[in-house]
Amino acid sequence: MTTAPWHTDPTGFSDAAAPAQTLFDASAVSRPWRLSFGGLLVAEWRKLATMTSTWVLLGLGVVLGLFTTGAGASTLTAMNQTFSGPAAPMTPPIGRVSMALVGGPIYPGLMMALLGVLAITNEYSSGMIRATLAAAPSRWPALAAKAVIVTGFSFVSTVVAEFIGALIAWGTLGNGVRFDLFTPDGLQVWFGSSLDVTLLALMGLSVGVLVRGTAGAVVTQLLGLMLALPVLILMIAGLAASSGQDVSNGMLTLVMHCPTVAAVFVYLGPIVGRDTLASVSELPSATSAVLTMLAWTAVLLAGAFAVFRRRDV
Amino acid sequence: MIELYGVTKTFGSTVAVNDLSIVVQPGRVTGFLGPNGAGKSTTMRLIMGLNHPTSGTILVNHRRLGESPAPLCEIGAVLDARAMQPNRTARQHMQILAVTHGIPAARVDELLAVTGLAEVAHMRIGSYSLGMSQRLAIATALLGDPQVLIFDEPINGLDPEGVAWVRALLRQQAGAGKTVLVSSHLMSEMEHTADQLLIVGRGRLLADIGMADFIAGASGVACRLTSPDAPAIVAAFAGPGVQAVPLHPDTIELRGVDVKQVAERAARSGWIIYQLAPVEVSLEDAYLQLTAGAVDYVSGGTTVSAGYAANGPAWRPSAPAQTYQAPPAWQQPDTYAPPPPPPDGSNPTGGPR
Repeated sequence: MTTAPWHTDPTGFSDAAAPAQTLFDASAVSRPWRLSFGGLLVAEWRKLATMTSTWVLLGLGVVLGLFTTGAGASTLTAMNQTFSGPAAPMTPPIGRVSMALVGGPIYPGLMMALLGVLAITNEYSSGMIRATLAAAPSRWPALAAKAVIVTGFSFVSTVVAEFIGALIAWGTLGNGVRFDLFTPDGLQVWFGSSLDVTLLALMGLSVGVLVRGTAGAVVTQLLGLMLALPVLILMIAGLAASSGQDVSNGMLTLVMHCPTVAAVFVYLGPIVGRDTLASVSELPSATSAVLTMLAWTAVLLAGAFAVFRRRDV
Repeated sequence: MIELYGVTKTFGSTVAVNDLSIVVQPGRVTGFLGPNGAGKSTTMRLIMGLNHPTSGTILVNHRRLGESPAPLCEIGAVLDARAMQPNRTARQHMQILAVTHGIPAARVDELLAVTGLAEVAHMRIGSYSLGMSQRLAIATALLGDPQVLIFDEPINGLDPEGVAWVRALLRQQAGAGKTVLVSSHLMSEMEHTADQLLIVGRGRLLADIGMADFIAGASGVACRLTSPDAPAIVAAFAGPGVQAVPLHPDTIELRGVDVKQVAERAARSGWIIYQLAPVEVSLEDAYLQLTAGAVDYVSGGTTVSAGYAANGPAWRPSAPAQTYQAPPAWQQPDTYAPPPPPPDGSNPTGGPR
């Protein structure tokens, strides 16, 4: 296109010439275009895909996730060599590839939480939110579509990355180690940890809506909710204990219900042994850990939807 | 068509829009005029549903915007040229919005071509000049071929050709039967574009008048004088059709009185006049006078409603408003000030939600 009507034909619109008649129509009823949730989903996917930070965070999450999986695998190798030495009294007790995933979801969880935060705070900081809401003035569908896309992206990418991580660990560990991702135990580790990452991403999105500013939301989500909360509770417990009060059990229960702590117990059972976990009464079962994670997500997401509906942008 | 019924918007204790009721009709360009801070942008954000009114009802094409099955086909807005992700290309930006309504990609390319952005459509928006961002914002507003277009200061950052293009576009869209609302703080921008004027000041509607009527009403005689006897002169000429506007402690502009009348009366009354000159009343003056809160002298020259001019934008280059200090006798409670808080200290209107 070599002609720029802006410059060559500044008054082109006043003529009843070509573009005016096809581009603009006095009767809107003749236009078949309608807002649809499917359309919003495609738009939200394209927004996520055209953000540089999405791919940087995904890359960092995968690399760090594979690194921790590799570290898990080499630990297993070392332990297996210890146990399978000439004097070993029994067969290697650690022989399942899902065990290598024990630390795998930690970094992806951080990265996808950050991705959830940025998915909305980027819109606030750039002003894109105003264009988004002009297309969807009823507002809730726009946020719902964004939540669906963040959920899908973080879940699928974690499931795929952990599968690749498990394959690499399997190759590294060599003979004697079982590829167990498709057993009930393996599925709990694989999909349980992927669910964790997904819920952390949704919490990040919710905190992003509530706080709006990128810096504030990152501090609230990553430092506050995910890192500092359990430490803070333990510090208070320590102070209370030092003043002679017996609060340790209640405080420990609180710590177990922090998002990042509960996340671990969603998939830790099959790795360290369900009976081992169950023998410590303060540690939550996988079911209660999942419920804790879902409750955090539901509360934050409900708050986000409530605020998003009415707030001025 | 845009309808506002009793719309009020407060931010904390600030009343940005005060009981505004207007109807913007299709088929013509409506100029939305008022000084900076008059509530134009807030009103436009309220129409778009970006801000929620504290009270009142807003309808676009006879229904609330959120109830429309195709909002992009109802209304398109150019509110803030920089309201887009700088890392995306113009084509990506428009296609993201187009896909929500199933608008074909071909229309995106057509609009980019029409706004002269075809050759830069693949470039990051962040690298655009303000004028290019403005064109992209206009192209985006036209995406759904909306029945209503609202433009907030659309010619900011545009080159002269761009300005001419925008004016032609506004006229063309209005000619096609669409509702076009354009805000500006300059009368000169509206003079050749608007058919109807909505003039606001401090969140209130000051005038809803046809352009032709406004021009007819604006013509008339006036003079400017500098005199230590200014209050006496004002009192002597007070009457219907006469308005006095203080420009400076000793300098006033008298509307409806010509130089000859003042000179003859001065000779009889012994007034000292340092300076006396005829003034052409332009549209800009008539508009400024409206937004200045129209300083009226009632008989005796003692009752004055000093309005926006005291702290508003420059009345005219030769008499910057900031040098004007109204004598105490001329001062009057500000008619546009928000109502005083109730005695119990509660906030009756509430803050923004």
